[in-house]
Amino acid sequence: MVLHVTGLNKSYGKEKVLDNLSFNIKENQIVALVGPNGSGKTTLLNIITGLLEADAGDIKLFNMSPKNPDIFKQISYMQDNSVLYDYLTGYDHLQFIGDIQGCTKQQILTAAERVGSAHYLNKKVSKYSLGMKQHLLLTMAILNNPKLLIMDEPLNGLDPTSTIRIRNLLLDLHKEGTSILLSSHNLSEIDRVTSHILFLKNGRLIEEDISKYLHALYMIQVSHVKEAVEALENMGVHIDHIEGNTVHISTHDHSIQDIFLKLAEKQVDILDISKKIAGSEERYQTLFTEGI
Amino acid sequence: MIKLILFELKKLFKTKKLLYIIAIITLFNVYQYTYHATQADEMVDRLYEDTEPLMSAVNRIERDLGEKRANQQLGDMGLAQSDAVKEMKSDLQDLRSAIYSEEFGVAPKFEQAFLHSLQDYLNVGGEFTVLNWVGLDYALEKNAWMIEHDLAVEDETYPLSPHLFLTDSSEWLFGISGVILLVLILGNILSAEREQHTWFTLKTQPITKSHIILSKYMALMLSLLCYMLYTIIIGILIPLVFGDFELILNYPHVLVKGDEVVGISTLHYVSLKISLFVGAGLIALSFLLFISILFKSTFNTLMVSIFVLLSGYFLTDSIPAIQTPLNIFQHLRLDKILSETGSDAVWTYLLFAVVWSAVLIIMTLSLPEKSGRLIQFTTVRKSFHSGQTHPTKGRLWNVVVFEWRKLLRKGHMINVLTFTLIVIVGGYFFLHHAETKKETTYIDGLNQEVNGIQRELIPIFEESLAGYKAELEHADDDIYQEELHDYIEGHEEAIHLYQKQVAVIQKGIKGYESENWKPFYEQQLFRIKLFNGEFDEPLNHIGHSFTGMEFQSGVSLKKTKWLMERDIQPIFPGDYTLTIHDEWPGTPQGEIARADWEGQNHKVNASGLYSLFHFYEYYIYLALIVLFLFLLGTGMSSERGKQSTIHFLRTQPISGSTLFLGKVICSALVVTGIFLGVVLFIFLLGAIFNRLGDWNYPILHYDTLSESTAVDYTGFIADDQSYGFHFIPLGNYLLQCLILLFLAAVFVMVMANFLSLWAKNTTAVMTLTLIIVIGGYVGSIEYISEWAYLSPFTYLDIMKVANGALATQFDQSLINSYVGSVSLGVSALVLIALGYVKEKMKRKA
Repeated sequence: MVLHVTGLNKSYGKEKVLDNLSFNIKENQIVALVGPNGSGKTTLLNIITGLLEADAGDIKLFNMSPKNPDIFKQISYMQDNSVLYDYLTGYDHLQFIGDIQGCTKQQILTAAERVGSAHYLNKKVSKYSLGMKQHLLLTMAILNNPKLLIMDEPLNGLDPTSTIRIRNLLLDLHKEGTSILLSSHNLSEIDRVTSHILFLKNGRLIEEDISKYLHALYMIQVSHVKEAVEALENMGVHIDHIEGNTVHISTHDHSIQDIFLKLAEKQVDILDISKKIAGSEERYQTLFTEGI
Repeated sequence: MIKLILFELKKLFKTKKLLYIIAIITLFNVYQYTYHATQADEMVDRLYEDTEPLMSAVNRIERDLGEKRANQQLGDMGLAQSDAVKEMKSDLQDLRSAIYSEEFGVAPKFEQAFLHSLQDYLNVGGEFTVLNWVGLDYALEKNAWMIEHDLAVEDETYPLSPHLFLTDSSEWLFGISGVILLVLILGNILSAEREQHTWFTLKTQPITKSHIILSKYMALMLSLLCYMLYTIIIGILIPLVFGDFELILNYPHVLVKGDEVVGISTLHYVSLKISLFVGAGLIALSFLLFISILFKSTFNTLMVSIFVLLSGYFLTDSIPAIQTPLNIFQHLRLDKILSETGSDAVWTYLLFAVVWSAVLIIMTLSLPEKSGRLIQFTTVRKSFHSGQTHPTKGRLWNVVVFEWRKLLRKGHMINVLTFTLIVIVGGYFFLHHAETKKETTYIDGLNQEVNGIQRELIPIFEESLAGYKAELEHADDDIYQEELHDYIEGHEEAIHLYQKQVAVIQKGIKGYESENWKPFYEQQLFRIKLFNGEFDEPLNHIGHSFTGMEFQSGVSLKKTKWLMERDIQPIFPGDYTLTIHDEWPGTPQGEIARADWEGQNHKVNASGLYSLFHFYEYYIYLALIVLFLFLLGTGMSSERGKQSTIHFLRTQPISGSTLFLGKVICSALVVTGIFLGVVLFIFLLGAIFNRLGDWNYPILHYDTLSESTAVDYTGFIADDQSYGFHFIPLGNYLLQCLILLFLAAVFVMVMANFLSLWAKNTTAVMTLTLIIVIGGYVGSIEYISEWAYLSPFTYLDIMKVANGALATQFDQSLINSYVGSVSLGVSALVLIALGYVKEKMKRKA
């Protein structure tokens, strides 16, 4: 077991932030932590990494207490950018970690290349953009090849190119055997990297495998709306709504190839198509916004 | 605008700035009051002792006149003087018995009687040097006020009454120290906004930059007002609540302005001090805003502001020509303005201060904000050690190296060092100038003395001698003939001694010019003996009465002999060495005479070694320790600010105890290195541009009473003195000071780092450290003086430890450099161990 959390409680004054939480992360698992602002995600991650004291409960990281500093040889925690020294360069941060973690200059440069931060490492952090800081934080986090990577809002402030790059990096790390626990508000990105989600609501965890909610949403612009709707209904595809000559459908079982073939049979031309994955967002809406 | 001002005040309140001000003022007043209360029992003794010089003088005059009266040598005037002195003695005895029996209410009446009889004595040609005309006018003015308002005598040295306590505390809190305190606490009002980018939040609101700056200015003014109000309230409230005195706002305060002596009420005096303080505050806080617009960093803003303000203060202080309200820095000389210009000039000063403040604010408003740096660094920096890592060196060493790199990258250290070097170079030139001036003045003085003796004194004596000889030829009376023989003999001896004095001085000057020091020191020895009245009657009229200065005299003789025996180059000015055992009357005249004597005999030299002596003597090392405290003492608190970098460190495989140790070791090494560099720089500057200095130059070391009275005591004891002394070579003395300096600096840094484990922010760490250090020192020497040798705080006064002054003060010979080194070292180690254990326990918990 990579992470084992049992009966975790944390209150700030009278406000209970974490209420008897228990969960595990197994080897080579990506787990996402999702919840609205102020729900206690960062508090939970800080407690897991020993930065905060829990009121009650037990945490084991690779069977070690988070209070043992040696645990950070096996895990890494990518925090928000307030942990960076403004007056140091990016390389200064990495060099210190390299000294402490036993990494070479070459390893530092490789990690930086992998994240895409190599070309501005000699600039002072005060001159970095938000995205550059996120890159540096990720470089710092992966430098020691952690077995568990804990990330707090890693996609904050990233442009689309960087988001894709980081997503691919996470998937690569996962392939290499790294377990990942990340908190994020970007639900569509979460859906792309994991189906294992911990929803944090009112201090309690709702652990979900949201693969059952995963389905694709397509917006298909067609030449003949009536024929298209008929063909799709025959296939058992759920039609959300129709907007002009665009049909909005959602499907869990049918592949897009099947849909194309069926529409072709009915002499319906496809003028344009776009796709969106739906999964955690729907579940999030159910959990957190229904009844508002 | 009102809303903006309220917002600024809210920020000051939320950041606890006003709380810090209140806490410091309260602590200061509580300490002062407690200390004064401990001295209250000795009030009678002190007041009684203050009349001692008067009584001695009256007795001496009475004795002299009595002898002459018995010998029928007094004319009418002499007889009148003799009667007046008797009256004086009687009145003075009444005054002393009133003091002794604690009848303070009637004491002014007896004092009035004494002063009137003294005036009568002076009116009939009497001389009374203990109270010169300034002292007499001062005493008359004050006494008249006391009688007019029917006031009782109070303890003015350690006051406990609300009016005098307020006056006493206002000397500090409404002085330059109060101004610097306000600048330090409120100093980041603008720079913090710029540092934390909240400046942009303000600038992106529908308000102009002028409104923002003016609102900050108004908030600063309101804070100044709070400071003053609270100082007044607490200054009155503490004595009222804890003491038995009433508030008497018309208690007199006498201002001495040159020849003028003016009595004013306490209320008037405090209001004058407040008016001047308002002016100084307006200027200092406007100047702070002006600097804040030029520099982005709070550290740089504070450093530049305080440096400029203090430099201006000292420069103005040393050049009388620029001491006018037109000079912005003159307004900071709060302790001097009243005595130099009188109360009438206060409104002029206030007006000029308002104008200066307005000018500074207009400049601040018109300047575009700049991100000035004292030293410009590029934002792209090369990595340390070509980017190579050193994992094998151990985590502790890695943390130390990281802390060092952070110091370098921050840039503050370079700024501080640059400023320090500028101050040292400036200080060197000041010393060099002072040395040259004092040397020239001393030698010119010798030449003038020779001229004076040759051209005036000897001819006068020769003329008198000729007169007496001529009179002798015509004198018939045997007694008269005998008297004339005595006069002739005395005058011949006097002329002979004057001629000898001239010859010795001329030889000394020649020796000085040819760098042959022996004759030079011979003339010094001659002059010291002469001033001590060691020659017979004929020269008594050119000798000085050295009551209370016997120790100084003995030291000076021995020191001159030491210098002569070792052929050491002299250091100017004066023939005497100032000591802690010198006794001066506690009268205004005594103070003037003391300052004058110190000016004539305080040695100044810019040689390498002696410059270092000044470094300790003027407590420059303490100022540097405080400066470096801000640089190196923030410890863990610096990781917990808006940038919570502590979370980065805590998520590395390093224990909290290693982090603490790393920070402590880094600050200890850096502060030691910096001080080593500073000491070397001072030494080299003097050695290269002046001269190396003499390792064996004698430095006076006081021996305690216990040591001096021991059977096996080997030092020197001056005539009629109980205390002994010996000399240590300057080089040895400086080595002792250096070791104490290293350890004291390390101890203070360790303490600050230790406190940073608890205190959340850097301001709290700095404030706490300074309070503990100052409180520790005062507590050690005032309250636990018997155990002061164990306290590390005692050894922060390096000079007084190394020269035995503190040891002598408490008759505690264990207060010395060796015990000091152990005390400072052990204390630092204990604090490190406690911090280490605390961090270990935290992890385990």
